Amino acid sequence: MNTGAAAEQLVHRELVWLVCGIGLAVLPHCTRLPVWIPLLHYCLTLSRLRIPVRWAQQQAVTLTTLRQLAMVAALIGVYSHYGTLAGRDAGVALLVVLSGFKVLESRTPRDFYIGCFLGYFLGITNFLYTQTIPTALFMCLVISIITACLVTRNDTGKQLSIPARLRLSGALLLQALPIMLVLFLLFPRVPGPLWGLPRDANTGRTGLDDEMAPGSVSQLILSDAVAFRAKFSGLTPEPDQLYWRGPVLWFSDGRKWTTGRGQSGRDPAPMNSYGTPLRYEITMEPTGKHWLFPLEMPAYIPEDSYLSADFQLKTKLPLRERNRYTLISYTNFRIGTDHPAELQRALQLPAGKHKKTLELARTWRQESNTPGQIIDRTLQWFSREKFYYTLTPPLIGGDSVDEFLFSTRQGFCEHYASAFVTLMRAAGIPARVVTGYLGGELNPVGDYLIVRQRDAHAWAEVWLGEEGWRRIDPTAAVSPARISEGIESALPDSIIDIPLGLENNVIARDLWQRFNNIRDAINYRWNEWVVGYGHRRQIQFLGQFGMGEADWRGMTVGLMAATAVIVLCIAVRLFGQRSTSADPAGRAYDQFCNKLARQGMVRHLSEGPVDFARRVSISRADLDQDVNRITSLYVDIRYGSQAHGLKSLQQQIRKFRAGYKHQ
Amino acid sequence: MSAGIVLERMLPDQAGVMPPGTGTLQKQRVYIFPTRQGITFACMLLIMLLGAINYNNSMAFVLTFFLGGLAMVCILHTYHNLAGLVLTGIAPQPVYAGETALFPVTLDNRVGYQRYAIALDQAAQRPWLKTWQRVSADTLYTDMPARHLKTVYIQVETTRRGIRPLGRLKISTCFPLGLFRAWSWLETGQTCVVYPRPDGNRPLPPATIDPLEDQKGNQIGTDDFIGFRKYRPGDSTRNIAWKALARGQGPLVKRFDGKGASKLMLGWHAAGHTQNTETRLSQLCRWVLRAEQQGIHYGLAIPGFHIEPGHGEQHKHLCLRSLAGYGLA
Repeated sequence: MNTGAAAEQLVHRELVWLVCGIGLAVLPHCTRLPVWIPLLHYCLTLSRLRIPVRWAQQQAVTLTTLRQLAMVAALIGVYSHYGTLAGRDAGVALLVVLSGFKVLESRTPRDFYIGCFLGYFLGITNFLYTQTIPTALFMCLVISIITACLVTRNDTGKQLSIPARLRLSGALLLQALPIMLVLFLLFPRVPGPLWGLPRDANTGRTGLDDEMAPGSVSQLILSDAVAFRAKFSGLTPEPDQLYWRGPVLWFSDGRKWTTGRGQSGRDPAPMNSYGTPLRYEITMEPTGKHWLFPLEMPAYIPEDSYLSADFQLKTKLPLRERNRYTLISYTNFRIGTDHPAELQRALQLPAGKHKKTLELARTWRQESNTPGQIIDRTLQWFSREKFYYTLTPPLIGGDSVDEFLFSTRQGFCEHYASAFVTLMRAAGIPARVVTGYLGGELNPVGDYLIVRQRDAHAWAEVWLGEEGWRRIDPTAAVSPARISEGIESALPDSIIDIPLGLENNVIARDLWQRFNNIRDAINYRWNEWVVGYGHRRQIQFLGQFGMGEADWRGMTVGLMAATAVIVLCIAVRLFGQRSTSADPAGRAYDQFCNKLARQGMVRHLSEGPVDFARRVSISRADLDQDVNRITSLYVDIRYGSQAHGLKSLQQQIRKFRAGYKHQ
Repeated sequence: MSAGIVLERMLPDQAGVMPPGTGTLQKQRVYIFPTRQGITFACMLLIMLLGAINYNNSMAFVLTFFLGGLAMVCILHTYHNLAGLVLTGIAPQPVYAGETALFPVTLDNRVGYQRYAIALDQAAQRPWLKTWQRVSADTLYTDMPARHLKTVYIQVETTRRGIRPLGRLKISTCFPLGLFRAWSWLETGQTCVVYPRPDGNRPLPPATIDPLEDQKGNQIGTDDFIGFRKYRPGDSTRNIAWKALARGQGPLVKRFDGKGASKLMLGWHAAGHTQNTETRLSQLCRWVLRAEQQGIHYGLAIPGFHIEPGHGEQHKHLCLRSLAGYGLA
């Protein structure tokens, strides 16, 4: 027993829990924040645990001044690092710093609660960066600890041990789980953001963009991140057919290739397709950009997307959430028209650059009759001369194409595609650079292809008059393995995520591969059904129950009803009187007592059945007969070993009504 | 039983004794409302939800809804922690004005689970809006183990003599998360008799020897047995006729001839010259205590009361209660 005055004081054990809870919520941010911010946070929170209260009270004025100075300094620090205090990254940094100060100055229960809520909030900010299963599990731990914090605060009598508090917090969360599921599934989702996303909402996401400079694709090769996953309805095509088409680059400034502004028309060029159509679904990771990556060449496209004249498939809205698209493509096709303006664009070269390349192209043009001959000659040159396919090409200082073709001769797909298109244009053949992905890794567990960022690729398309635009992959001339066996064969092991020491062991490698496949299959499902559960997926999900047409009103009603049912179930479980008696007669008698208790006649702990019956008889003469009969029967069975009366007792108790009889 | 707080009202029997478990039971409604922290929590959830919608972040939705579910579950648990408790108010011991009155309240947890942090305090007369969230400094917190009976004492400072009612009690709890407070109002009907503060330095008036009595000596009348009379509360147990009781004749007291007993009537006018009633009552209170201590047979003669001389603990309390109630209703 203690008093309210004592309850207004924060005690050490509460603060320890709070510091732990918030500290864990901040932990995943450590890798994303400048090192001083989490360090400051931990210093502040830990020092709160060390400062003796009395000393802090004596030095209150000095400490407050110091704290305010430190806070201003920290805010300036955050501002100078990010250039702003708004947005995702700066916002998180600010929250981490301020929560540290909040814990430091916690004196009243109110501060304590604010600290706990900041902890919850810090937990949620982690999901702005990553939504993987491990993060989710870690956040479960964080919120159960912060919930245990609240339990600790409210356990004024300090009756609960640490495991008991954790158990209680876990039990509360477990009971909250079904409510969470219902809310998650039925809460009406809206397709777009409510207001503008901060500019940094999508940074850190790697992917192809509308420009390509030497090194931009090879940068992606280092990334293990998944670009998209593709599931074919029929057979999966051969690896050398898996060209996933992305941005098409027309314009070169001598070093960088770009799409060129606003020049690709919206109407796709005519396309003749041959052979069997391939039907497949791709699940795009959010990129914040518009491109989808269809297999060359798409014939059927999803609703909210369009094909440009050069067959770039773009969505109308940027890809903010993980989405699935159904597509149909033909691998045998002929595309393009001899649109003069377009062909003119495909011959553009930066003025006054690539002199040696132009010279070489001019000689080849004089010596050859057809564009086909020039192409063959170029590819042969690439394969015969000492050109190397490497991820770490030497740095090119001067003219990027000249230097690559005539001196370094070591490059990655973007170097070859860029040099090849420059050569073609110089020789008078319209050509353009196409970026996208090549290949993909088959996951036998889920029977789908995973295309990662490291499968990024660049190739060329040349205009061959009657044949239309034809794909030429100059990388194939240098490293055929890249095309037929994927990027893994063309790269050293260190690039691919294989743990050290397993490189040479075939079985271990195999197991590792299988493990990875299972892991990715789980992630695929997780991403599809949990992380990717948005407006579209919700409609799809509700459609399975014949509620596909449900609008937000219907969903809200359903949500409330389902939540009410769950809350009711928990309430019944919680308040339901469970008999603690082991024998059937005792259970029946407990039931009898409950009926009386509901009428306000509660049996005392120390009260025997006979005494209780006497007391009931006095206050409720109308029940006198029933109560005495049942009690004497019970006493006979319980203490007189008269087992045969049990049936009768149970029956009588079932029939017993304690309420007032209305005449 | 689980639907509310049960208040057990004790009706004293004829001897003024209140055996537990015989009172009438009254069901009191339990209310529940978010605390200030709970409202802050709800605001935080709203911000989280807006963020989740804006970023279209599924896991943010998950966490927000998880915490929302937690709050809903918390309502049930907070209610569960309080509902079904049985309270009994027990008559408090009289105190002298200026002392702290202790009102014993028995909490009876008849269910198989423990209850934590049950707060008991006197409900101020302010509207509930002002009191539902504040915990005053003298709120009592107590834990109730499963199937356990516990008595807590509500402390009330007294300033004036008289009858001090406990008034409305508020029993509440915020356990387990402090986001909600469940509470109930209870009118236990307990009153505490507050005696006047013993004060004043006038000497005890001289005892008068009853002129009708034989003037032999000063011994207290315990010598000659003169008969029986019916037992009255306050009679010394030494004088109870145990043999008669054993024979089934009921409690009788042996009477002795009180020859030579000094008797003292404490009168209103002797207690002070001033018109201040309270000062007089304080002086009378002190005299009663002193006379009791000195073994004098004393009586009380104040306006409205006339108590025959007597002696013993019961007699003392009778006198003091008369003083406490002087002039009140």
